[in-house]
Amino acid sequence: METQKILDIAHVSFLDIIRASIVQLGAAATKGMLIRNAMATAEKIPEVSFDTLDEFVASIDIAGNPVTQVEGKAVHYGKGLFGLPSCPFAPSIGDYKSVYGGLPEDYHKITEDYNKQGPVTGALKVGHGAGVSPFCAVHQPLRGALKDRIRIGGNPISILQLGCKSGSGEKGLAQQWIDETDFTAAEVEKVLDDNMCCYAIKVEA
Amino acid sequence: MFNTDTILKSLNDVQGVHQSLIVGRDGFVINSMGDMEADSVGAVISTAIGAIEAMGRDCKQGGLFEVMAEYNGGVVIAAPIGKEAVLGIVADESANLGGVRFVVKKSMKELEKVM
Repeated sequence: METQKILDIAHVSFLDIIRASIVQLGAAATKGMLIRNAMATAEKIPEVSFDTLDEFVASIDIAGNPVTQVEGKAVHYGKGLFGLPSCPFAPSIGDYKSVYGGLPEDYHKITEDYNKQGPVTGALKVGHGAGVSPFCAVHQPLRGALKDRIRIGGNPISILQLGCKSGSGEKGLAQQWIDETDFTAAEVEKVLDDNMCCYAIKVEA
Repeated sequence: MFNTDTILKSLNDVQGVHQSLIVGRDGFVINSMGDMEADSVGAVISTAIGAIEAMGRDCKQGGLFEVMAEYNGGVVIAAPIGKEAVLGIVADESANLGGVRFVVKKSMKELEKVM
């Protein structure tokens, strides 16, 4: 008898809770809840300091910084431009799809709401076009809020969500945040060719 | 000329009202006036109004004008401002409920113009 895959039921339940919440509370309230949870998680992560951006980049290999600890190992393309090869929610999505065959239809409502201009996503420099799934409303604000847990050279940092790619290959770019960096939309798209997520880290003077 | 500050102030001037706030449908505070922790109040008001709207939808009652919850210590009133925001009012037991609801209804028209 062939060994079958063991499902992580926590993954399936989490995605089902999001689906139920969209129906029972609405997409906007669900999105707000996901963002608040992500920000609360970020607040619990201990602060760390690095002398230089290079030292931060070197810490990726040993998961020695909070960003890597929550999302996995990113690739540094130079000057603070990063690509993340794997979406941290890919295993959850895979488990859910293996049961239901696809993601819930209502999920697009969260993505649409998340991409609207908003004060919180504006302050965190996430969304604004860079959302491609409801999971971006967890992952991007979590990473964005980690800016307050990391200092480089004694200075605060900004983490800007430049773009993201869905499992189907559709890319979403946040032109507003790209314009705050020295990178172009074409460079972000190129990073997304080989990655699922693209962001920049800027050390504030 | 009305703005959200003047509207919230007129609400807070009603006897017994000690918190009024405008939150996005996602629960993040747009403006608030009063003595409570607006972020947490905003979060629960947005989820409550979402649930009450869903109840109206499933019971085929149409759109929601307003919801009022009565507690031992007073009332919480919430009303949708269009599709993007919600007005929330917290009042203690000294509040005249008819008076509060009258001012809320009047404020809704002003809020729909300025939002």
